[in-house]
This record gives sequence, C-alpha cells and structure tokens, in this order.
Amino acid sequence: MTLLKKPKTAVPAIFAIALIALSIVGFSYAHWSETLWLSGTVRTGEMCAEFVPPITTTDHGNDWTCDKGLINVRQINKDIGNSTARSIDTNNDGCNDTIIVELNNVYPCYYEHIAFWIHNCGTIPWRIWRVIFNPGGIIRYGPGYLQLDLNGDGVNDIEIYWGDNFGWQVDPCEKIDISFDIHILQPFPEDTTLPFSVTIEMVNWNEYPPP
Amino acid sequence: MKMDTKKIMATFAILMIALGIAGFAYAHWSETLWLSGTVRTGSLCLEWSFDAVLPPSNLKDLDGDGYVDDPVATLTYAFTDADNDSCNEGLTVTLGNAYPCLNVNGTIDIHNCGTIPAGIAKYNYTITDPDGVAGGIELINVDFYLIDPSGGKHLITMPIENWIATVNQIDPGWSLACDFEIHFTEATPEGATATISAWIEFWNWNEL
Repeated sequence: MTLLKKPKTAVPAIFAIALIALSIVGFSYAHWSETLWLSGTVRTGEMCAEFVPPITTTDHGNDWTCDKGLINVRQINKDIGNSTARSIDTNNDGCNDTIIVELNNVYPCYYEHIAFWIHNCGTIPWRIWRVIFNPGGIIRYGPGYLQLDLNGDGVNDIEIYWGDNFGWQVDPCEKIDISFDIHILQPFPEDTTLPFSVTIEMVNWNEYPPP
Repeated sequence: MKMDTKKIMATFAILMIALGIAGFAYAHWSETLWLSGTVRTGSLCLEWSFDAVLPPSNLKDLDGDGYVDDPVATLTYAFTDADNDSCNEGLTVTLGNAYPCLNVNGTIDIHNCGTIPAGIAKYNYTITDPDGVAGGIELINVDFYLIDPSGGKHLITMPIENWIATVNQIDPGWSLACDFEIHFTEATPEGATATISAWIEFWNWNEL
C-alpha cells in the first residue's frame, strides 16, 4: 500500500533529480568548442629578361658606312674595321644580362648595325619601358635618334638610332628582336678607346606607363 | 411475499458484502504519473566560406593561342572537412605568381552551421615570410560584417577586436564575414613565398 502511493510523492523528486542531472550534464558540456584553421600561401612571380642568340653584326667583310643622320647606308670596298657582339652573365644567375659590343679599328663614318633578341625568362609579362644611354644619361621612351659625347669634350662622337619594341608586351617564354645603328662621327679621336653603355629597363606589363 | 423480502434482503446483503469486497478492492485508488525525459543537445558548428577574384587585366594570351584567357597570377582555394561532419573547418588559399600592382578582392566568411550561438574564444596565427612579401602587401579595404540567414548584411562599425571583446556572437544561420582588397606594391619581392597558418577556436556563446 505504501509502495503503491509512492509514485505520487516521487514526482517532484524525479523532477528534482532530473534537474540536478541536467545541470550536471549541462556542466559537463560547458566549453563546447569548434576550431577552424586557415592556411594561406602567397608566391610572387619572377620578372626576368635575358639576351639570347642570335646577336648579329653587319660587318662581316668589307666595311659599311653612312652619311650623318644615319642615312644612305652602304657597303664600301675595304675591310678595315670590325665589330663583335656577345652576351655575358655578369651576376651568374644563369641569364645573360649584358651584351658586350666592341668596334675595333674603326674610323669616322664607320657604320654598324647590331641586332639581338631579349627573352622573357620569368613568369611575369613585361614591356620595355625606357632605354638609358651613357655617358650623358639620355633617356628614350621610344625609338629614335641621338648623339653621344663619349669623352666629355663637348662634341658628340657617335650617333645612334635605336629601334622599336618599346611597350610591346612580352609574355613568359616569348622574345623580341631589337636592333640599333651606330655611326662614328668626325670628332671621334684617333687611337682611342671610349666606352658607352645602354641600359634597357623593363617593367611588369601592367605598370607600363605609355609615353 | 415475506420470503421474497428475506430473499431481497439477503440479496442486498450479499450485494453489500460483494460491494464491500469490491469496495475494499477499489479502496486503493491509484494515479500514476509518468515522466519521459529526452535531452537533445545542440550543435556547435562553424565552417569556412571563401571567394576571391583576380582582376580581368590578369588574363593574358600567354600561350599564344590567340585568346586572352591565361592568368598571370593564379588563385586557388580548397576546403577541408577532416572530421567528415560535412562542415569545412579547414581552408587553404594559395596565390601564385603574384606581381607588383596586382589587386585581389575577396570575401572570407565564417558561417554558424550549428544550432548554438558561438563566439571566438581563442585565435592564433603564424607567419613565415623570409623574403618580406608582407612588406609588399597593402590592405586597401577591410570590412567586417554579419550576414543574417536571409542574406542581409550588418556592418560591424567598431574595430573587430572590440567586437570580439564585447559582442562576439554568431547566431545559428548567421555568418561573420570580411570583405577585403589587397594590393601588391612595388616593394613586393620577386620569386618569394610567404605563408600564414591560423586557427580560431569558438565556444558556445554563454561560456565566453
């Protein structure tokens, strides 16, 4: 009899026990956690340009000459001067970054035409932005004619016509052909070695400022 | 008739006895209450979502096939569900062949795919950048906001660290999202690689 009545009186106790159990359960589940993770990698590309063969000169026998202004180019009947052009890797990175041009035993009115290829050996397209001629720091943003005073005596010793391909987009693995004319002017002193340099600057294709 | 009266009285007596017996039997009326208890716990679940684009100018005809459809830089991303709970708890993003002046626009999103509000309890990150790529990355724009289940955006106007310190609650079905735009400056080094590894630990909101 007593047992049969117990269910009535046990209900609140069951609730109490359930609440205690829930609170214990709730306590045990506290600090649920979920973790997200992120892995990010940024690899930058490489802009690379190199001279590649063929690097050609015009004088392979009788010399060439022209009139001032690099006009009326013609071959003459003597093999007096000679020219060479070769590429070298000055920083040993596996890319030929410099062309050594040597004009030997040349004389006023001697003419040479030098052609070469520039190859995109990187992963980013580039464009030729400008060419800087020294001495004088003359900057050209497009093809054209200029004169250089190689010994600083106030008179120009050579004249150059630099060819095209400024601004042309060169994609990775592509190459472009560039050439220039050089003409020895009358004031060039005898029996003298005078250097000049040309620096070709490329920019990644998307930052080329049109002239 | 008198006999009938006796019979009736006897019948009543028997009936009363029977009822008494029955009454005794029914005297222990009982009422049973029962309790069926079920506890269903909620689910604390968060997952990544990510989307980013490179600018159209990033496409060039690199293979010379006449179609301007080859990307210069590349962007890939992949999700990982290591515990097979159908939620992407891992995100791997790789930006390759990046270059100066490249812009990347994207959205990174943490979605509450569970039933319990969650908040950020801990986070940490490690950057490996031996060549200084980070020095060439400029944050053009970073906006944090919450996205409700219907897609409505609710901009977080306070600094995100303040939000974490105060509000820090992503309700079920909501997302914490970040729109970003990064720019690679001229200081970006060539041929370099930088990596970031990060983790975020979430707790149920009431325990934060």
